[in-house]
This record gives sequence, C-alpha cells and structure tokens, in this order.
Amino acid sequence: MANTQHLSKIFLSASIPDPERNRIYYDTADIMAIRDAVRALATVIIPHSKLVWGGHPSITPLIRYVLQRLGRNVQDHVILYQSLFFEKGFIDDNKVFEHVIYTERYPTIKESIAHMRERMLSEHRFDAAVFIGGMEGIIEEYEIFKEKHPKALIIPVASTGAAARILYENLDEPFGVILKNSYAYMALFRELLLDNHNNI
Amino acid sequence: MRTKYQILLIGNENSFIGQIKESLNRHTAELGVSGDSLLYIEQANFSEYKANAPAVCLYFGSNDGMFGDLELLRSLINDATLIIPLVVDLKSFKQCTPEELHKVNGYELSNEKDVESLVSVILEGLSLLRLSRRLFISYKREESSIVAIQLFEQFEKNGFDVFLDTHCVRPGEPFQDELWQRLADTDVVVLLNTPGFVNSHWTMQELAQANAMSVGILQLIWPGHSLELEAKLSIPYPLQDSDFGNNTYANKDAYLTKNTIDQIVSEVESLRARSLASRQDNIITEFFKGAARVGKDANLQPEKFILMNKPDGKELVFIPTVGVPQSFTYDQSEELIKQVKKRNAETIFILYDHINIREKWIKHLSWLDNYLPVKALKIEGIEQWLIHNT
Repeated sequence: MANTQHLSKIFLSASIPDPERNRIYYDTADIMAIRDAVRALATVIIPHSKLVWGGHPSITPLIRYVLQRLGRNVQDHVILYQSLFFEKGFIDDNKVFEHVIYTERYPTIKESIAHMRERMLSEHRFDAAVFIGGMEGIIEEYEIFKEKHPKALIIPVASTGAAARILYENLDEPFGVILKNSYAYMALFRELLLDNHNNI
Repeated sequence: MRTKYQILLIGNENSFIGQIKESLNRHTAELGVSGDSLLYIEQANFSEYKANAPAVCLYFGSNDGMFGDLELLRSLINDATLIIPLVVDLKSFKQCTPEELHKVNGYELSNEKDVESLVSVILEGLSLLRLSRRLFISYKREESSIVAIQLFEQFEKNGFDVFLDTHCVRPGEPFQDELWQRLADTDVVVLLNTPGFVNSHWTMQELAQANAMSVGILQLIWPGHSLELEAKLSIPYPLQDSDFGNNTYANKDAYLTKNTIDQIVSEVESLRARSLASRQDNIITEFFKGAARVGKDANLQPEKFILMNKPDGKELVFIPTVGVPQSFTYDQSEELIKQVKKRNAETIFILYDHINIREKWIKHLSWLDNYLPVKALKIEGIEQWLIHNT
C-alpha cells in the first residue's frame, strides 16, 4: 500500500436540500450546481489529496462513480463515514469503498449523527473544508470543524445555494467572489485547493 | 428560477440590432422554443447576466476606434463566453474592434443579407438547432404509456429530437451500451417515475452515473409516490391529481392536461439550458485556466472552437465536446467545420471529459486516434499536455 500520510486532507460537507424541510435551504439550492460541484471536487481532489465525508445517499454514488472512472489505485484517498443508525438503508456503494468507517448507533438519529460528526472531525487533521448545498447539518458541521481546525481553509461554495450560501454570506471571512459567481468547478477547486497548496 | 438562453448585445450602437432580434425570435419560434426562453442583455440590464446559463455575446465594433463596454467585454472573455465580433467590413477588422478581440474570428455585418447567417451562428452557439436538442424519455409501459406518447408529441413539436426508451422490463439487467451512448449524448432525460418505475428500469447506480455525466434529469413523480432518497440529485416535478385528465392517475390510460404538458416542456427547456451551460462551461473554462497557468495564450472562436498558436507559427484547433466525442464531422455544426477547415491547422483535437464517458469508448477513441487527422484529448491533465506539446 502506498504511503499516503503526506497527502493533505479535505473534508466535504454536502447534501441536497429537501423541499419538505426548512425551505430557506431548498429555495436557494441549485441542484445542478451541487451535483457538478461534488463531481468536480472528487475529480480534482482525489488524485492529489484525501477526501473525507459522511455518506449522504445522494452524494456518495457520485463520488463512487468518479472514483471508479479515475481508474488508478486511489482507494486510499477516500474515507467514508457512516453511522450504523442507517445500517438497513446502506446502499451498495459502501461496498465499493475500501475505507468505510462505521460509527456507533445511538438511540436517536440526532445522537447517532452527532457522534459520527464528532468522530469524523476529530480523527483527522484537516487542511480544508468544502461546503456544498446542504441544510442545518452543514452549518453544524461547519461549527464543529471550525472549532477543531481553526487554521484550515474554509470554502463555502455559495453558487450552489442553500446552507453553503448562508455560510458564505454570514461568516466573517474574506471569501473570494469566485465562490459566488463561478460555476466552472474543476477550475475553481484546482485554483483554491491545489494551486494554493502552500496556503493550506 | 428559469434558466434562459442569453444573447448579449454590447459594444457600439448598431442599426441592425432590431433586425437581428426579430430574426432570432422568428427562428427560435420555428424551432418550437418559446420566446420567453430567450433573454436579450444589453449594457442597461447587464446585471441580469448569469454565468450558469448559455450565452452568446455580439460585440458591435466601431469605425472611429472608440469602443464601448470594454469592461463588460473583458469580464465575458474571462468567463470564456462565446463572443462574435461584428464589423462593417472584415478588411478593416482590427481598426474596428478592440484589441482583446483581434484573435477572434469576426463577422461582417454590412447589409440585411448578413443577418440570417449571423443568426444561424448564434443559434448554433446556443446549441438551439434541432439536431443538437436531444431528449430521452424513460417510462414503464404498463404504468404511463399514454403520458409518454403525449410528451413525445409535444417535445417533437418543440424542436426536440426525442428518444423514447420503450425497452420493456429488463429485470436486473444493466443498461445496454447503446442506451448509455444515447444517454451521454442527451441534453435532458425525463423519467416518468410511477410507483414501479425505478426498480424495474433504472438502478440507483444508473441514475448516479447519468448524474455524474452531468445530464439534466427531470423526474415526473406520480401522486402519492415519493422520490427515492438516492434520486434527489435529479430535479423533481411532483404531479398532483389535478395535473391529470379526469383527476385520474392510477391506470395506464391516465393522461396529463394540456396545461401540465406545457409546463413540463417549459421546465425541460430551462433544465436543458442550465445543464448545457454547465457541461460546456466546465470544459471550456478548465481549458482556459489550465492554459493560463502554464502561460499559453488561447482564443475561443464564435463557432465554439479554441485556437492556439505554437511558437513555430503553426495553429492547433481544440473542439470542446459535451457528449461522446465522435469523429470530427459527426456532430459538429456546418459553420464550425467550414471555419476549422479554413484554418488549415496542424492538428485538430476533440476535447472531452473522460469522467463522462465509458471505458469502452475511450479505448475506441484511442484506437481511432491512430487513423484520423483528428485526435481525442482528455481535459484532465491538460496543463501537462500543453507544457509538452505546445
């Protein structure tokens, strides 16, 4: 197995807002942009860094597809976290990933997810976090992430709308307008995460 | 939020603007595209311009060397928007256009007769011509065949080239290769998501794959049925009882009202515009940013190809494609072929995103490379390629 210790670690927080939940997320969500951004992030980042995320059933199959298409031995470059609370609903995708970390089940969904987040964000030293689309969970993940990794680069992809846009608009950080205006995500992530590698 | 086809009109005043709009409106109506799908943007309403929608910019040159809207022009060049420089006489092209456009093919607009050919370049720039408007409808015969036929007819009337996925149940069988090929070349997929549809027709992996190929997917969700969790990347269109004739939806003779059909067509038009822009934008912008990082100068031509000069003066042509790259002449517009042939380039490259394409075709493409003057080139790793080959 290749030594991948030196690779930078990127945390991905992404989901598709649900129209039946809080509309403040769904109403600004650009589903195509969320999809393109996740796909582009996986394509650009996986060969060079480690990507860590908590498997959302609409996001994981996209990453799985990109991973398979990259066709190199990059299994060590992705780490998927899954709470055993959802064990019954686990999709076949999980089997494709070699590094799936199953976190303990708690009595409620809320506790189970909180526990998964706690582990996922404590067990690695992250260089950056990318926020795409999403709902309350993204805001919560941002808060835990910021506390544990205060120096890491924060990238809320505002053009995908939803929670990522709320983060972009409300955080007191000098985000580039490119996060709001650009939809060419491969170029965007390359610029922010690879070209500026020394910064992260 | 409706995505529209944008036509930007900037630069200097021009007496043909009214006629260009009139002709564009007429041709799009003939193609079945409704007038509200077009958006004209000028200096005054430039804030309405959206980077995630298809766009063609007309830059009107001037004889006196005073050029308007230069800031806007530069921001569009930076966005890799298609720009068509227009002058009265091509012989004085450089005097009549700002320097930023000197390496872009210009068009002559000196009398009424020039308007029609310009309009066809614009329509091709927006990929609005019929051959390039591909749609795929997938449905379960026992549950929604009347609706499928209704949609087929209406989409045909609206200038789409429709493929009806009538293959019967393929229990557990993966998608056949020719269906994938169809799919990769499609702008929008419409799934009639009746209760028994997903499990019998599409596996979740197939849905994910279509999504990963950046095809726009609209799911018409039957009343009482909910969107599968894994399918949330598609755009949902929930149907109500009242969308159906006689408020009846639970049998195979169910049909949609005229009003609902019209709304679906309009939704598909918007989704197509959005998905097309995203596929093109990603590949073109990736190329330009990659070239800029390694210090290479390239220019996007109005016919949607990229031109680069090598230090020895020879030219390279790159043609970005969004579907499956075929041989050069298969899927390209006449104007593009004419312009590219005129260049007498050293090599023509078809630029593609291999993440979108299945392994088998990539092997086929590498094999074709040995026989054709046209070569297929992956956008992934373009920088390294440019460093070594230009």
